Amino acid sequence: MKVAVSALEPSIDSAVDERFGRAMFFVVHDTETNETETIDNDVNRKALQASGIASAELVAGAGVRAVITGHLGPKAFSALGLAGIKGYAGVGMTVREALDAFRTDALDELTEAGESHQG
Amino acid sequence: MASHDMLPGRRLTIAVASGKGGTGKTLVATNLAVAIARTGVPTTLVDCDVEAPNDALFLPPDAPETREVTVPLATVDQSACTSCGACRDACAYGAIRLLGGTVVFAELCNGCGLCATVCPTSAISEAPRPVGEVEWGSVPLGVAGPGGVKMVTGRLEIGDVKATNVIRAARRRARVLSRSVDILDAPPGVACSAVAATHGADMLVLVTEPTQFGLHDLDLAVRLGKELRIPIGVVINRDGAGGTDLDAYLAGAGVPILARIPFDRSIAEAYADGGLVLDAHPDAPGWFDAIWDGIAQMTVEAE
Repeated sequence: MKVAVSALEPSIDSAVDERFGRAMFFVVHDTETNETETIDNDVNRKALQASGIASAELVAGAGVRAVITGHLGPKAFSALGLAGIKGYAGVGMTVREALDAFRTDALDELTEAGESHQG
Repeated sequence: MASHDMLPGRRLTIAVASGKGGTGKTLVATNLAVAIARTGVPTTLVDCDVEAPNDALFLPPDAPETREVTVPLATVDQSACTSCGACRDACAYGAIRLLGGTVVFAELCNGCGLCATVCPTSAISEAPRPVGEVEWGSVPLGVAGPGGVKMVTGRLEIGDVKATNVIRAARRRARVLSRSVDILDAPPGVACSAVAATHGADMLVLVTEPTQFGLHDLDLAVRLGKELRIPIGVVINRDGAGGTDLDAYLAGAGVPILARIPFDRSIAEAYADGGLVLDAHPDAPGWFDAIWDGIAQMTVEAE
């Protein structure tokens, strides 16, 4: 299963970026093959509006089934929901710590949208 | 007053706007409409403050009619859609996304219809999406005789963002009613909805107050009016309160003062009571005559 973690740096040792739509990078990790790739979220980070929808589309296109981030705005939350992708909170962790916690079901699922434009 | 002599055969559109909210646009727009109607000129008042319309609280129309305002919304027939992404790539507003299937985000769709024309399987059509309503009717002649005021109100659906569509629909209704003078009560600010409510007007009446906030936002509104190439006149409301000197700014900007409405408790009381200041303050007919005369002069000069 592929998991995308919003990250400040393009590295598995980066801190988790609390923003989803305007995250700096996504670290995409496959829990079955242990392969990791990073996606630069440059375009969406600079979008005038609706970055959450665009980032949801980006990770959906990468085959992701779960995202780990800080919080999800209303548009990102509904867009991820449409794509069948669940969101989890990984505030204050590194990407590696967040992925380890995800594997042991230790992360809280984001079950509702937060405020718009927190990022 | 002589100003309405020049009106037969000619229509005049006056936008009442302000940068800052709460300066008295509604007070000026409602009383000006009635003052003009009382000179015998058929007038329409269009409430373009569609997120918080309240002109009709002061001038309730008899037996109003309403019509829904809709915008076209791209609608995907999922059984015909192949998720090829052609519509997604064509959409300039990022309103169409591939999320499992092809998904349209209504709040981002501008209803241009390009997606439907590029779809290779004709899976996209446009369906009307309600975003608000326009209400219109006649204000009783006892209030606004003998010219009469037709009251048009644009009302945006709560939570919707398509204010400009509702404003344009309200202005279209006013054109259909085809009266001598249309007064457009614009929303505050200088963003899209204020532009939609003022562009194409013959005259821009900016209502301000002598405070630092009033001056700051007046400057924004003056710059908007100049950008739109509309003659501008200013009404200073709550004159005597606030203490900020607007005259120097206005002289520098080359913008005339049409009238000063004093800071006076009886005006606030009449307004809070849903009444007309015209009927509550002995000097009020003079202020609105002065505004109307100033508008008439400036719009003749502009021709």
